[in-house]
Amino acid sequence: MVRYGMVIDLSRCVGCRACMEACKVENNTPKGVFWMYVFVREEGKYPNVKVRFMPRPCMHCDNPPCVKVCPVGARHKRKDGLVLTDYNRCIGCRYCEVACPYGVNSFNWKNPVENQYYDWNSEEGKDVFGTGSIKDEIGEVIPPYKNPDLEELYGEERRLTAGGGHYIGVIEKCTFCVHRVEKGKLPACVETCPVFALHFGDLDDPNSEVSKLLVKKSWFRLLEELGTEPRVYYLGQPPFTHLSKNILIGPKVRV
Amino acid sequence: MKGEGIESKPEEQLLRPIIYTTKAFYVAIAVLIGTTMWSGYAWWTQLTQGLVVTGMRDLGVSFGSPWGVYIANFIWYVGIAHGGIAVSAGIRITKLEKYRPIARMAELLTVITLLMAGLSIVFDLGRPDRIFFMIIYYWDRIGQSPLIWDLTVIFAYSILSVTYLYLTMREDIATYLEKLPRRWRWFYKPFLLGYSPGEKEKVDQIAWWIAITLIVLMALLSGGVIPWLFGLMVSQAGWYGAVQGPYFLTAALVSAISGIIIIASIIRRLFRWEKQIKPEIFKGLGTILAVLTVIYLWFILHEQLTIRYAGPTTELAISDALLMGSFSPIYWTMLIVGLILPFIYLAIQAIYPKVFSLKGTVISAILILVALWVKRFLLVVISLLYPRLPYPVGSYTPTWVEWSLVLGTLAIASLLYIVFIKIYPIIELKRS
Amino acid sequence: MVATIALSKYFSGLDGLLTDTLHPQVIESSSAEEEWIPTTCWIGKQDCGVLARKVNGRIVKLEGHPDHPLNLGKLCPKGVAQIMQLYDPYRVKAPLKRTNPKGEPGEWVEISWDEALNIVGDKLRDVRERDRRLFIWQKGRSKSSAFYDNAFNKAFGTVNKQTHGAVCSDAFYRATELTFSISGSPTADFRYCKYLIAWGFNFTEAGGPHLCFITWPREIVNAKERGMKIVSIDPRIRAGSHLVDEWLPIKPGTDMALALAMANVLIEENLIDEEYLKNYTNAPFLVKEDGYFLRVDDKEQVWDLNSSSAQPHDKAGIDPALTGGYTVGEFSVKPVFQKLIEHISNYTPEWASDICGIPSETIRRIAREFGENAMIGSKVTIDGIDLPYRPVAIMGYHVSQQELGTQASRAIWLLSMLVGAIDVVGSTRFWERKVDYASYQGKWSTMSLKDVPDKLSLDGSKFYPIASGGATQAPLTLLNPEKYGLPYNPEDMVMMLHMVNPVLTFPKQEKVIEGYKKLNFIVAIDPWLSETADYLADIVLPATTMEKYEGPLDVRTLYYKADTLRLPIIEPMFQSKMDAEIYIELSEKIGILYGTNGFIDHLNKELKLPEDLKLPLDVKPTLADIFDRWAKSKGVDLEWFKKNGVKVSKITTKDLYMRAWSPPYGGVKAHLYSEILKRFGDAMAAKGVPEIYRQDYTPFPTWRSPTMESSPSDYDLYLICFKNIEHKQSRTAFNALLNEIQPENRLLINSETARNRGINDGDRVWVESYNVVTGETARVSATAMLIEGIRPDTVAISHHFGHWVHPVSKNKGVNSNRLFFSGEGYTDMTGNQSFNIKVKVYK
Repeated sequence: MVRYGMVIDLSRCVGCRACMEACKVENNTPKGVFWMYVFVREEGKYPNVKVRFMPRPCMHCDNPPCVKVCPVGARHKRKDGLVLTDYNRCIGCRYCEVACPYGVNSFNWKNPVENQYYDWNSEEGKDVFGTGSIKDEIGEVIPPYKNPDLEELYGEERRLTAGGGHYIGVIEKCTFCVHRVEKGKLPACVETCPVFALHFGDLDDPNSEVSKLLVKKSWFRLLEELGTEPRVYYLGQPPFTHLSKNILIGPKVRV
Repeated sequence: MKGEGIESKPEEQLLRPIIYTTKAFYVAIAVLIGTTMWSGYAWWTQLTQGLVVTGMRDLGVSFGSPWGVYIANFIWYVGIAHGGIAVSAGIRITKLEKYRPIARMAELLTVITLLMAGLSIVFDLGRPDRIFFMIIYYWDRIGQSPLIWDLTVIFAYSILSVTYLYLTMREDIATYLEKLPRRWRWFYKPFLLGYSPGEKEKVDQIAWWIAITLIVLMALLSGGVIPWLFGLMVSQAGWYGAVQGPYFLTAALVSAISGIIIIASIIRRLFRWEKQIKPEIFKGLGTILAVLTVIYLWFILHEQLTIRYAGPTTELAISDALLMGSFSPIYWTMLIVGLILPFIYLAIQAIYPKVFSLKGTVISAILILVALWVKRFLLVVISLLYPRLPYPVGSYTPTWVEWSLVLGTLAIASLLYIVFIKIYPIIELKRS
Repeated sequence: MVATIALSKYFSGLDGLLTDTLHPQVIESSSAEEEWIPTTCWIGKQDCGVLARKVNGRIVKLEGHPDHPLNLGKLCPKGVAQIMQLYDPYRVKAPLKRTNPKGEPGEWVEISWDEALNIVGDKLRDVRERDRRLFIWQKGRSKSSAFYDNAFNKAFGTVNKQTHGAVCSDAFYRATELTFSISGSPTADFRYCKYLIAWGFNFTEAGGPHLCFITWPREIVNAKERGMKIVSIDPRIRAGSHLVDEWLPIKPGTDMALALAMANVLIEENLIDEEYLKNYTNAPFLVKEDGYFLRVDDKEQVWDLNSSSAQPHDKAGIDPALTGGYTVGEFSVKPVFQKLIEHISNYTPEWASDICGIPSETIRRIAREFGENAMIGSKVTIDGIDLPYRPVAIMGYHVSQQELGTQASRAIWLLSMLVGAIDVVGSTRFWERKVDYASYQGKWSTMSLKDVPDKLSLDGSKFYPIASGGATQAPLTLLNPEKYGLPYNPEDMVMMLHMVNPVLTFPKQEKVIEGYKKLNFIVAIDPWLSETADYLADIVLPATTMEKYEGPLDVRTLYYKADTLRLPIIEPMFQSKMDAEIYIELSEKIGILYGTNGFIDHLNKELKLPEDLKLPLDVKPTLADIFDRWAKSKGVDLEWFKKNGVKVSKITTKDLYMRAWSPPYGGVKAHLYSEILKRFGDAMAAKGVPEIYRQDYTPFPTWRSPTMESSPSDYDLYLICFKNIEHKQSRTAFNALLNEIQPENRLLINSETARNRGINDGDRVWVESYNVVTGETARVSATAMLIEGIRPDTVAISHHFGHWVHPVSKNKGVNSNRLFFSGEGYTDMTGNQSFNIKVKVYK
């Protein structure tokens, strides 16, 4: 049985955050929502200083607290290991959000269509600097790069689980790009990482890239001691604590 | 008061609120309905615009708190509910006749606050139109989800409480049916279904068993299932832990008794029932409250000391925020003005009965009850603002919608309570 | 039930409560028409390969093209996010004409393309007939020099052709031109390099030489995994710090001192590659006491140790001396290298340590490590070619952006030259593969200084004989034409801006506006209304973003090269036009399109089209036709590129190392000693040019204290500028996606320094700079951010921000260029802008 997982090589990551942007464009996540998030922190005192990075997707845990607490079974774990949310079943109680120690969930506090960077609905920018509007050019598509794959149903049970920004009042999170993985492609973040720091594959297959990396290098998992059995493995330097200093200026926007 | 001279029998005094309607009643109803309508407007705003109108936001990247005032409200009401009917059940089982007059008040408190707890949850949901999914998928989730356990137990508790209240009201309604106004007769009919005067003993026995069940359940729920909502969450540093069980149980009893004290004193004052609701009741309740409050304070100390001794980073950050940081003004005010000072007063009053003052007791109860709401709020919110991973520290400010809906639950609860008093006898007639 | 159904109207995407929850609807099927169109990234500099996913006629995602050697199927955050700029609702949608005076925010009226092109065409034709020097062509990051920089400007006869090089790194290019006759910048042979000095190189955030972001970090991370050691010399530790083995926090503006001290150590410890110096540099050339080379029959002489006599330097079989003093005829001569030893002898690590703030032991140790890791004398065979093996490299880029930029760059090159690590295996090497003696050393050896400048940038004049198209000098010349003897009137001048925003990107904002305001007519070609256009443009012509034909793009990594094109993935949005089309139309209106020496004629030459594929000179070409012909000249056709995107070829080992060429290094000896600079320095002195322009025209890099050091003592901090990976120059701050992750810039200040001044994280502070030459000050308000990774005496503000037109970036962050000054004392000897200045910070 396929068992998907991710390996993140922290000694290669340079903190460019292309993964965050690729995830956002691929999954149409609304403003302020980052399913893939990169911590950027400074450690040490001058002149013994290091700036390090740690990308953090959803861990797709093997013992997922979010799946356990969901009152309606919208959050579920598939046989191939992906932990997904059924947007047609979620009641928006946000228990999964508080149950997750990694803080990977995002809730649609407002109508996601109103939360896609510009007020596309009321044709923001219409006739500014010349006549015309985006709506005239491409029709009423919000956001303009809306990904049609996200409307389809995935998995054996044909559930609406891909992408984000579907409905108000439901919760969502990183899906390991289920709509891509089912077609044999890599998640958007892994696909775009310019320095090949992210890897994705079948952890049960000893010949897969991820398995080989785990044999070759020493690894750790985030908050492993909490017993969540995360499936994202980190190679390289140890994780951050609160004692390091955040030096990110953004994202610092909320909905 | 109108018609005072006519009453000769004590029960007729007890029926006064049902028979006579004062201007104050109408004013109260008007205000409460007005408030309810305002909160209805607030809820409409929330339904149409989404939960973005609250101050809640995603934790972590959006440095917010996804649970807030609604959940705090929920726990507060649930605590009162569990304690309420347990007090009444306790009175029945221990046969402490002294407290009989407040028994039904406590039972009614439970029924109404359970409703308000449910309402708070409905306010909190992102998709309240899908709430029935919790029933459709019940058997799938009962094995794992603490929310479904909550649903089960609250449901069971509600059924038992309503049954208990129903059973214990039958005798009163049946016995004093002629004295009760005709205009409410449709409300009395359900209580007379299959009534026979000899049923008293059987009913008493059923009620006794229900009472035992309720007390056991109360311990299980308030000290178990409800706190498990938080205590099992290894994700939040300020929630995880076995202490939540007894912590919540104590809080439930404290809030229930405070609630009962307040309601009983208001009713006593409104309807001039100084003779029926004697000061001894308050003295006794005050003493119990003092004991429970000090146990609660002990749990608070226990929790903070455990964290501060070793100082694990996230837990310590939360403790720092409470004791010294941005939340310290609220925390210390709540602790000192809301818990410690009332405790000291009640303790002195318990040891030296001569200094007993009803007013003082009631004020202490109010302070404690409000303090417990604040305590629930701090519990829910602060852990969420200090996640385990090094995100920026969160912030959360409730908005007018949230306060309006909280006020709305209070208004609806009061409204239901007042309406009940208008229709049904609030003090057990037969036993008084 | 009824109520809930009624409520469901208010939830997005719901048609009906029960229908949506129980029967989810598929709204758009992605199995509909889907295509993947290859093109190249437009937002950056290096033209990474992009595959654009198009579904039902709409672009849905941009991903990297796996075949493209620069990015290997990946995209950086800007590349991914440029999709939002394709669909930016605030793009300029139609040609705009200004209705209010220049110098204030623009009020625009929309006009048709015909009208706009006629207006611009008339103005340009008129000015071309009067005096071609009156036309300024200023570009920022327009791509495709074939069409814009070359064909158009050659056809027009533009004199004032200004690129952005002077706000970039051109001093490095001048340094390499002076030294190697190659217009290039140092890179490294990462496959074999063992020791890299990243000198002022923000290798994980900016781009560095020639390339934009992806390629260098990938090479460096791979090399690091192979065991390469990295030393970073930088006032601020950059994002790549976890890759860096050692950080030398150097004081801004003192790089030359450090480099000279390291050269001192190398010489002292005899870590010298004599073979390289003797054979491939002018180190053995004999220098007379007057500082000029000894020449016999116009050939420079060296002292042959075999025959103990002076011989021509290119005679075979001689063994030139590097040290000693000799007499040849009436002259007392010394080899260049001997003069170098004497010149460097005072530049000890102890001396440098006081100046640059790095402990002398560290300087010695790093120099020794560099020298020892160079493995002087070792050889290796690759692909059957024997080559020296010198696995050390110095890669820098914006070290050039300081007042001593050119000479500091030469000093850094000196280090690589001393150990023979120039374009051999594992060493510092050029990305450029062309040695052009005639255009650089050849030209300069014989050039005479013009008294009267042709250009606003004063290129080639007595002020900046070797210049970088000093664009930042232009506004200053416009403001003060008499001072520089400008032979024409600013008020008669016409300017065309192409993808450039000088009001934000040049120092100093107020002067840029004042200067350009004088011009008669300004046209801006840009997809957005830039701040420059807002205040200064008369006409704005909307160009497309990435949806255009553009090229040809000659992309190269160290090991592969490729030909590729930018292809239009959708039709131009709104009424925007592809830039090349605009140029063709304008050329037609101006009357320079057709005929010999016209645009088409030059384009044929630029594209190197063979006779049978040349465009006819009398027919207006379409872009598709032009690129089809170009593609055919490469052996395929346009359809091939539309399917495959990029044509890759490997660089052979012989090409890879200039040492392997025949002759090696193109037969040009590296100028360790620049007689050219001496010539110019003397000529400028003879013409009475003030010292501030000529003080650095010395044959060896010679340390002097930068002008900014004479600032009053209360200006006690150094300000530097830098780039963030999330943004590209000034053209992404208003990208809603990128703005979200990097909404503004901050004043980065050392924690301890800040605390000593009572400044906390997030405080608003004033930053004030001082111009020593003019006494002017400049002040902006910024938000402080306390970090550990910066020198205590240095503060930094990143570029990218300061906009006021686009709502997304409006009033976010601060424009650091408002603090830097341009002109004397704040540009280097070639006019390259210096981004170092002394400031004070207070609340």
